[in-house]
Order: sequence, then C-alpha cells, then structure tokens
Amino acid sequence: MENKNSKKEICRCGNFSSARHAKQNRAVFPSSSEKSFVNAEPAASMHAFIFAALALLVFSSFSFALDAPHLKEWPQIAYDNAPFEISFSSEGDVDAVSHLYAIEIKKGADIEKDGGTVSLGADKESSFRIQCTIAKCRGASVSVYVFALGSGGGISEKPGTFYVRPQADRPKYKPEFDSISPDDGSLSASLRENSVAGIGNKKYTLKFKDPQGEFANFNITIYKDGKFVSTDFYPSATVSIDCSGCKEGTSFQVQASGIKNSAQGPSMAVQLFTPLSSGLPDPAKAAPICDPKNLQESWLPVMAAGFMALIIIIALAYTLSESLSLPRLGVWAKTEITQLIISALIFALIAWLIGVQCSFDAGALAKMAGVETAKYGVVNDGDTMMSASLKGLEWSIQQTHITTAFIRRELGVLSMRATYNKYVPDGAGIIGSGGFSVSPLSGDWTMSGNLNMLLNVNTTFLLSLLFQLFSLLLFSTKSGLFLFLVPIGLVMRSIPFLREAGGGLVAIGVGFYILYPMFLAIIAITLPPLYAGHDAINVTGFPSAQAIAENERTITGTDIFSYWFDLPDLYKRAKGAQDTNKTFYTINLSPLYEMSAYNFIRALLIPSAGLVVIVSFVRDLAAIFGGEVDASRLIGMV
Amino acid sequence: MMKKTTHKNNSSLPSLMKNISHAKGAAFLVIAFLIILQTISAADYPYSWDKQHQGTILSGLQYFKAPGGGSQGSWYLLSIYAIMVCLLANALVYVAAKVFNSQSTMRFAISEFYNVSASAIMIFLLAGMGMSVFAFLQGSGFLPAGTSSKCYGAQVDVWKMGPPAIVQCKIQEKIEYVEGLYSQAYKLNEDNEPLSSLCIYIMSVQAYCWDWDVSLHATVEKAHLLANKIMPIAINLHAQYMFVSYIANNMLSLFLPIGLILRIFPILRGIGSIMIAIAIAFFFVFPITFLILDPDTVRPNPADLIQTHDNNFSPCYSSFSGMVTAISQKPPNVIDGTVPPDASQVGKELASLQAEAFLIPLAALTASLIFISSATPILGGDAGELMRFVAKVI
Repeated sequence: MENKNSKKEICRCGNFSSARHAKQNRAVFPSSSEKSFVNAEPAASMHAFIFAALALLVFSSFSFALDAPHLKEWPQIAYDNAPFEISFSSEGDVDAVSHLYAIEIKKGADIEKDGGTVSLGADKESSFRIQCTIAKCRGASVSVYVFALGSGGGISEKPGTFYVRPQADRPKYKPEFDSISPDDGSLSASLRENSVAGIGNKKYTLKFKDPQGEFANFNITIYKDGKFVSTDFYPSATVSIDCSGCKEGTSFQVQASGIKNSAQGPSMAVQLFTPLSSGLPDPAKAAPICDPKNLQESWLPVMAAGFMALIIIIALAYTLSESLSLPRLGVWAKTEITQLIISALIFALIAWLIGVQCSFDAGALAKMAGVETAKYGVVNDGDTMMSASLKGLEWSIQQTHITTAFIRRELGVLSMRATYNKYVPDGAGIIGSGGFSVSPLSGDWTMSGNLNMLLNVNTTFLLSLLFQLFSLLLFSTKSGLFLFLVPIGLVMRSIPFLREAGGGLVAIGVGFYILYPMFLAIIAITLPPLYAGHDAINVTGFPSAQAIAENERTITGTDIFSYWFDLPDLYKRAKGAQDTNKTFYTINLSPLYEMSAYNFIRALLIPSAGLVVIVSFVRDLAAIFGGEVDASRLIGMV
Repeated sequence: MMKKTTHKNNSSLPSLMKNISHAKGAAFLVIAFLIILQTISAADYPYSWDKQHQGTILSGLQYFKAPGGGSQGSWYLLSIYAIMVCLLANALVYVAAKVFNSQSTMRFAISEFYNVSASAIMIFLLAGMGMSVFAFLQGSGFLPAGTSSKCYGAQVDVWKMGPPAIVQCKIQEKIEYVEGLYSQAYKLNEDNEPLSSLCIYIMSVQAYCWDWDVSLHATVEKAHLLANKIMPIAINLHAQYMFVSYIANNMLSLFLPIGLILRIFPILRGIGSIMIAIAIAFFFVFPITFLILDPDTVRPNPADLIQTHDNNFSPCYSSFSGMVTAISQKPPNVIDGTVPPDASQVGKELASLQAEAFLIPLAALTASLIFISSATPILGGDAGELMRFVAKVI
C-alpha cells in the first residue's frame, strides 16, 4: 500500500542483527531454505548517523516522554530492484509532523548510509520504502533506525536479514476473484479487479481462483473503512467478511495475491460497500409497539389526563342539569359519558389488536397457506408481522435494485458497442487522406430505446417500494405516527365537536398499523414462490455468449467486449438457470422483461390494490368510530 | 252489533315469506341453494392441478374441510375459534343491551349474530362442497367436461390441466411469439444500421454517408419503432403470466380463508367480504371467462362447435363472430427463421397480437370486476373504492 506521506526510496540491503530486537524479527515469507538467513545476530554496537545524532542532541533536551517508534512487519524477502515497504508506529506524545529514518547497509567492509524524513499520519503510523538489487544487497546487513521528532525522541532498531530474490521468482499473475456469496444462500456475484460491488448487512464468503494454476496459497488482506483489519494466508482461497453490523457507506477493500515458491506475486483489490438500498433502517428502530411500556409511557398519561378532564366536565354538566332543571343538559351528559365509555372500550380493543399483531407468527400463516418459507429465505418461522413485512420489502427492493443495476450496465455496454467506430484510411493523398468509417455494432441501437424505457419504469418501481418502506416506518413502528395519532384521536373522539376528527384519526392509525404490515407480510409470503417456482422462459434460437464474444472479436479485433458476459452469472444463480444459451445481453432482452413484470406486480399492482382495501377499511372504521374519512381523495392519491 | 272480522289466510307461501325477516330469508335461500348444489353428481375436477400448483389449490380446500386436515392446515380450527369468540362477544353485547334497555344495541347484537351465522355457513359449505363448484361450472354448460383448448398446436383438456394452467400456456405462447417478433425486428436492423453508419471520406471530407439514403434511414427507424412497440407488450404478457400464477397459487389457499375469517368480525367485515369476492372472482371467473372468450376453446359437442380456420364462424360465439373470424385466420404462432424479416409483416403481426394480448385478458378482467362489485355488497362489504381505483388504473 502506498504511503501517503513522503518517503524516499534508496538502494540499501544487507544483513544485520541485534539481540535486543531479535523478537521483532518476524519472517513474513519463511521457507526452509531461507531460514538460515533469518537468524538474527547480536548487534555489535549501535550506530548513530550524523543528522540523526544532531537530531538526537537537539531534541534530547526535551522531555523523555516519547517511546521508541515501533517497527512493524519486516519483509524478509525482496525482489531484485523492487521496492519494499517498512512500516512503523509511534506511541506517546509524539510530534505528528515528522520522523526521521536512517538506514545503514553494511556488506563486508562497505557501509552505505541513507535516510530521510517521513511524516506520521493521524493514526500515528507511517511507512517508507527501500529498494535493492541482488548485486548490492544479497548477503548484506541492514540496520534501520527511526527517530521521533518532538520533545525527546526515541530510537528504534530493526535487525534482520534481508534476502533478495530475482524478479523471475516472483509470480507474475494476479489472482482472480471467483465469487462473493452471502452466507444465507441468496444471490452471489462475480467481481473483477478494481470493481465495486454493493453488499448488505450479511456475512459473505469470497472465493478466488488461480488463473494459471501456479499458486500454493493466497495472501489476503482486508481493510475496513480504510483501516487494516487482517492479513493471513488462505490455502483454499476463501475468506469470510462479516458485514452483519454494517452501516450505510461501510466499505471493505480486499487485496489478494498469490504465493508461489514462498514468493508473493502482485495483488489485486476489490471494493465492497453497503449502498443506500441495502442500508435499511436499524431494525431496532423499526420495531413494532409490542412492549406494554410503550403504551404506558405514551398513551396512558395523555388519555388519563384527557378522560379525567372530560369526566369532570360531564359531571359538572350533569350537576348543573339537575340543579337548574335543564333536562337537555342531562341528556347531553348521559350521551357524552356513554361515548367516553365507548372510547375506553375502543382503547381496549386497540390494545388487544396490538397484542394479536405482536404475537402473530407469519411463518405459521405461510404454512397454513401451504408455502414452505424455509425454501425461499424471506419469511422465517417465528417472524412477527412487522419483521415479515420489513423482510419482504427488503427482498423486493433488492430484486428491483438488481434489475435496475442490470439495465444500467446493459445500457453502458450497449453504448460502448453501438458507438464503437472504425476508421479505415485508404492511403494518404496529396491533400489529406481518404477512407471510410463504420460502426459495425451499431445495430444495437435497436435495443437502446427499450432499455431506456425499462430503466425508467424500473426506477419508478424502486421508488414505489421505497415509498412503501418509509410509509411502514412512518405509520407502523414505535417511532412512527401510531403512538401519536391514536391517543390524540381517542381523546378528541370523546369531545363532542371533535368526535368526527378523532374517529378519523383513530381509524387511520388502526388501519395503517394493523392492516398495512399484515398486507405487506402477505406479499412477503406469497411472492417469493413465484420467483423460485416460475419456469424460466425457454428461449431458443439466440446465440450463446461465447458465440457473441467470438463475433465481436472478429468484427472489432479486440476482446474488450467479452468482459461483459460474466454478468449473467448473477442472473443465472438468481433464477437457477444454468443454460449458457440464455444470453442476457444482446438480442435477448426477455429476462429483463420478465424481471420488470415481476417488479411491476410487487411494487405497484398488488401494493396499490392493498392500499385501496386498507383505505376502504379506514373509511368504514371511521364511520363506526363516529368519524368520516374522505376515502376517494386518498384513493386518488394512491 | 258485532263487527264481522275477516281473517286473512296467512298460510300461503308468499305470505309466509313476507313474515320472515330479510336476514333469515337470505340465510334459508343460501342454504337451499347450496343443498341443491350438493346434489350435483361427481364432477370432473382437475387432478393435475395438485401437481401443477404444488397442491395449494386442492390442499387449500382440504385444509378448510376438516380439523387438522393436511399436515399443515388449520384454517378450519381457526375459523371455528373466531366464530366462537364473536358469538361470545355478541352474547355479551346482547346481555348488556338488555340490562341497559338499549334497543339499538340489541338490534346490533342480533344483526351481528346473523352475520356471524352467515360466515359460519359459508365456511362449512366451502369445506364441504368445494368440489361442487367445479361440478356447477361444468354442469351449467359454460365449460363442460371435455372442453379443450389449443396451446402450442395441441388440444389440451381444460379441466384436466385446469383453467389457470391453460391460460398460462396461452400467455407463454404469446410471449415466445413476441420474442420471435423482436428477433425479427433486431435482424431487420442488424445489417442496415451498420450500413447506415458507413461513410466515405475523400481528402478528409465526408463524401457520402449511407445514412443519407432516405429509404435506408426509414428502414432503420422502422426497426427501432417496432422494437419500442414490442417492449410494452412483452412486459404486459409477462405480467399477465405472473398474475395468473399468483392467483392460482394464493387465492384459494390464502385470500379466501383470510377473507372468511375476517368477515366474522364486525369491524373487519368489509375487508373480509372484498377478499372473498376477489378470491372467487380471480380464481374462478377470470380464467374461465378467458377461456370462454378464447376462440381456440373447443367444447366436446362437435355438432355445435366446430372450430375451423376458414372463414366460417362458429354459431355459438355469435356475439364475437367478427373477432373469431379474424383471430382464427391469424397465422400460426411460429416465426419462420428461414424467411427474411419484413418490416411491414412484422408490423401486421404485432398489431394483431396486440389486440389478442390485450383484449381477451381485459374482457376477462372486466367480468371479474363486475363479479366483485356485485358480490361484495352481498357478502357485507363495499367495493366502490376498489372499482374507482381499477377504473383509474385501466
């Protein structure tokens, strides 16, 4: 990894040793033949260079609070004329601006010295590089010193043997990523070097492959949000990444390099990140109102205060009616006390409905409907209505997002292919040249309009699903409107001139809290089997991906387009189709039509019909509660 | 003088009916109708539906039939519990009404009792007489046993496969046909557009571009237009396919039981009624109407129904004679890959397919919606909002 700070590459090499720092001498790539080179020898003396000594004199008068910088992993093997990195960290009250490093290379009677400055990063770590040739460095001893500038200063020493190997020993090839798969068995994807993939809050398994079959094992380094996490050797080329607690924007960088004959080859890297669509709200915040304390803390005080006030008013009114002989006032008081009792009964009913919803088992409902939820991985046994609805929405959003990602990618590929232009000059004339230009793949413009339309509609579907998610969070969670609407509505309902408004509020709160998650849970139960059980459309007569790639090579003379045909892996795994003839790209857009139709059903058709039913229920319920909700306007909005 | 009084003879049937309240009368009529339905002899029901739809349809009925029917079903028990709870609540309300001498509350409790009874009758009859629906449909002559429909060139028995499966097959046939049309449109453009991009330069000056040829440019744009027209049809057909799958798998096994249970409770009666109506409409009415309207459907009486591919229309579809003629004269749904594509021919095929792909499903949907709007009030709900929503969407 490049050091962000300044560093100086020098050519020094040799062997050196220091008994005091022998334990720091850890081999990175040990092999049996090289172990003899690794043994540390006690340092005869500690050498200080001129500028380092001056620095020491200058700064040693200050406090001695600094610790010696700690040198990290010491790369025992370097390659002929290739840079290798030495990293260090500093503890204590260091001057974060700069450190000095000095290197002494001794080979026989020859001593070479060099050094430079290096800035310490905010994380109190830094690194610098040195470079050696076989001629100079094989068999030499090297001493490395790092000084921390500031009050005081510490001197570090790194003994060790430095072994330089020819470049030819170094593996030339980089590993390739094979696949990244969530551990829950859902979709997987293949990645290429420097590509970026979106991941979600799950555990993933990354697999690599050896393109040339030459690696004995792999060295894989993982960084999270730019910070080093781990590095290790993996003989099976498989590593796990846990993103189950990832927040939005969390990124992973995975570097992999192959090991051959104990020599490490060049590395490649991929980036993984959690995009917005996977960064769904924290499930703890999206929890239903199942804890009785939620009602006790938010509802009871409001309702108790409201009801007490109303009882007092009604009692006063009744007293006045008796004392002043106002029978109409007495009738009014009796009517209002009846309504108050009804409001209390409505509260009891709502509390019961909340209890039913919280104890509702979506998995059991699915079983009663004959759906094997374990097979599809969306709704599980024991899921409540709220968790089932959230899972269903997350699944739908993921599927729709994949569709839009496919389409965007296809549009990009299409643009590249269709705009590929060749100019063939036909000799040079006296004034300018002649020739002809052609776009041999421009026939793909036929699909351009289709894909643009598909992208537009699928983006609409995705937005619709996000709307449903936010509606669910708005109405149906403990941080939503339900805890606000219902108690206010019940109190308002008990007030004569606010009865209709209160009834309407209660009906809206109950309808969207009880029915809306239930409806989404039904969608989560009923839709996944359609994907898994749906027979993949058997499309025949279209060329295979390999045939298309070969055709492109013939026409364009390049392989730049053959890269794109790995994409169908994601779709094939999602659909369970293994037929390579189901070419995703070029000519056959049927899979995209199919996916768009699915998205239409789950994002627009069924949810809209459900919302209409819920609004009808709200209207009827409001009428029962004494209110009125203009359902037609709500339907118009839907 | 004694007044002569005459006593009306109230023993006749019409007067007897007048003395029975509407709710009781309706209940008696429903029971009588269903008893008559029960007497219909064994019907030819789709045995392969079990496999086709993973057992959800027949299993759904079986689950409702007996307590613990099937390894997973318990809708019957759940509905019994719901009925008991509601009856208990009604009883409490009635007692309270008696205590407080509230006539309106007593009337409410009585009406709720009738409604719960009606729901209970529906549940019991559904569990006991599910198969009779198929018998009724076959005996009524809409789709008698032995009716077949053509799909992929073969006549398929409607009741052996099941109407939803036949509908799916026909939609799949259209999907493949549309894909063939798309392939034709692509091939139309495959060589023309690269040719139109060819330009010749002389002394670095553009001398001639084939795009300047108006006819070539028109051919290219025609291909683009055809492809753009095909896309909404393709998505529509895929959506129809999936919709039929959805209704076949979920209407009887989920929507209908949930609707019946919700109907038991007063505040959820409206939703329950809508769900029952939707389940029955989309499971029975939609696919059967689709098949009835489809000209490839052949009934088993060859003397009345001879479906030919000449210009003679069948007398039994007299109200659709023109359409039957046109559709029956449509070329087979096979794209001949050896014939070079022709833009005008592709356009004609697309136009005829558009009519067939949209019209018949739309008519079937309309019939289903009419059923929903008629049945929902009978069941105790209101489908007005749903109808307004559908009208706006369509």
